[in-house]
Amino acid sequence: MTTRTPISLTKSGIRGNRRHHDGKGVAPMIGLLPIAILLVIWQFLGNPHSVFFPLPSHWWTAIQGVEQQGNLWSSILATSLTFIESIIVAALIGTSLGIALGSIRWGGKALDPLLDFLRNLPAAALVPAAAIVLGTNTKMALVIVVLSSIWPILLNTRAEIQNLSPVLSSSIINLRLSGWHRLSVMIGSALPGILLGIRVAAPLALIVTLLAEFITNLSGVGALILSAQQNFNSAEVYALLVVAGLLALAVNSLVSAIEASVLRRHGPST
Amino acid sequence: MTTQANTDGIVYQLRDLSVNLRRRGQDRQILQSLNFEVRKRECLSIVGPSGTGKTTLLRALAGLIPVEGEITFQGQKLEGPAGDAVLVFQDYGNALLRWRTVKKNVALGIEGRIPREESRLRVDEALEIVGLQKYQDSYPWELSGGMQQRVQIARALAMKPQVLLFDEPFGSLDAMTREGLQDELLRVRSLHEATCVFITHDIDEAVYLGDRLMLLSGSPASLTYELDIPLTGTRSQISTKESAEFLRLRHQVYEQMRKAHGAAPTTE
Ligand SMILES: Nc1ncnc2c1ncn2[C@@H]1O[C@H](COP(=O)(O)OP(=O)(O)OP(=O)(O)O)[C@@H](O)[C@H]1O
Ligand SMILES: [Mg+2]
Repeated sequence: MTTRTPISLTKSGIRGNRRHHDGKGVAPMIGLLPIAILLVIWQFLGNPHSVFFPLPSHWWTAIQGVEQQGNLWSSILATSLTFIESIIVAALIGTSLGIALGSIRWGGKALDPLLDFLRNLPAAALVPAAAIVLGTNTKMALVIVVLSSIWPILLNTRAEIQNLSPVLSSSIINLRLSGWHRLSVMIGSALPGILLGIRVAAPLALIVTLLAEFITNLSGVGALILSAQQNFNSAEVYALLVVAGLLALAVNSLVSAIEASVLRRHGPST
Repeated sequence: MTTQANTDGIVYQLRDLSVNLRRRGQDRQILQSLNFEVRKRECLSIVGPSGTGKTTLLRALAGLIPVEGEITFQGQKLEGPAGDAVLVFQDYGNALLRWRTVKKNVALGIEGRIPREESRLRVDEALEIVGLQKYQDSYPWELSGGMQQRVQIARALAMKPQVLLFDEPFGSLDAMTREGLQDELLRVRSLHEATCVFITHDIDEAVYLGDRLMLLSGSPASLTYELDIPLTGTRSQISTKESAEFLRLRHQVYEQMRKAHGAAPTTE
């Protein structure tokens, strides 16, 4: 087994690691080593009676407590569902709008101020407004998450369509492709960019899902963390932090795996 | 090669064709008053210095850009994309769809238009002509540049067009591959009897492939020279390119090219 360079989250790294995907899973696992070492040191050198920094073994006990109350798995499920629904909706709407905006000549520039405004609205600020309009329910969470994670997908798709190679757009006209056929060629060629957008959007969507749960106390991992904090149960807070981290890791691997399998036919990036 | 006067033998007729292109709000005339025709089944080579407007001319012939003056294509005024003229680009990397196999790339222009079975036959036929049947399930990025260019040619052939419009198709390939493809193109033409307009930088290539040659130069560009290429018999890389006739024609074109470049004084 050859060693793989760990996936880096720099901009070039995101695009660059497309050809390293046969080593899936391996790189992030090696990357987790420092955290594991830190936890081991913490366990053996930490103060067993500390209120703010409880030992990792106490986290384990705490999380088992949550599980026995029957909240853990249902919360993870709730958070995952909101996340998955949102990212799918964001991908569908983002890609469609991106293609539409990318195809109209003037749309590019004229809508930029509006898009910039919407893109930079902080998700936290949207929550109260959405709560008033939609009430505190999962639909509201979905709207918030979609609104805050759709931008990388939309903007990337738009850029890909606008930068379609002139040779390809001439080919499309010259071969008289129209309707679905034409659209499928455009989507196919924009696909690497669309998937890159989704990869950037996914962690954002997870963060905002947790945030919506914090603020509104909708059931989910976010709400568990909030109630643990309100009960001053620091071991439980840390344990749930680990759960959230693992969730993020799972999301990242899932998105990478989907990206790799979809782009397999595209060959190495140019 | 026949010099027919009646319009039956004429595929393209250009009358006073001018093209203005707009870039950053500025209109610029690229082509000025071109008058020429393209005859049925001939191969018309067009040469000219870089940046004169050869690609622009080809795009006009394909009906991709608005023009002034008139282009008559197969007896009718050309308005909008020319249905029966297929472009082959130099940049095969962007012309082909990297996520489609060779077979599906070749089918791109005909799939959904003709019955599936017929489409399969045409794709097979086109792949056979360019000698790529063995690679029909490969992806373009798995092939060499020359092979990818053959895929693009096969894609054009599968549409069975009346006219093939080549824009420096072999410009980015090495000399050996280029010569191989030149001969392949001659062979394809003898099988398909399509009319060709062939743009190139390479004078040898223009003379070797063409029945007629035109020089486009100036700014805005106009036709500054025209030459018949009466090379007889089957053309071959070695004997044709060493024949006195070939060398004479090539010499003439070179001289005209030099004049066209203007800035550099000719040695005569
Ligand atoms: N869309 C456009 N708008 C304005 N000017 C353009 C546009 N496209 C090309 N031009 C200009 O028109 C001129 C002719 O371009 P064209 O691509 O037709 O030249 P060419 O003869 O094909 O050159 P080359 O041999 O390098 O391929 C160039 O000076 C170019 O800058
Ligand atoms: Mg050109």
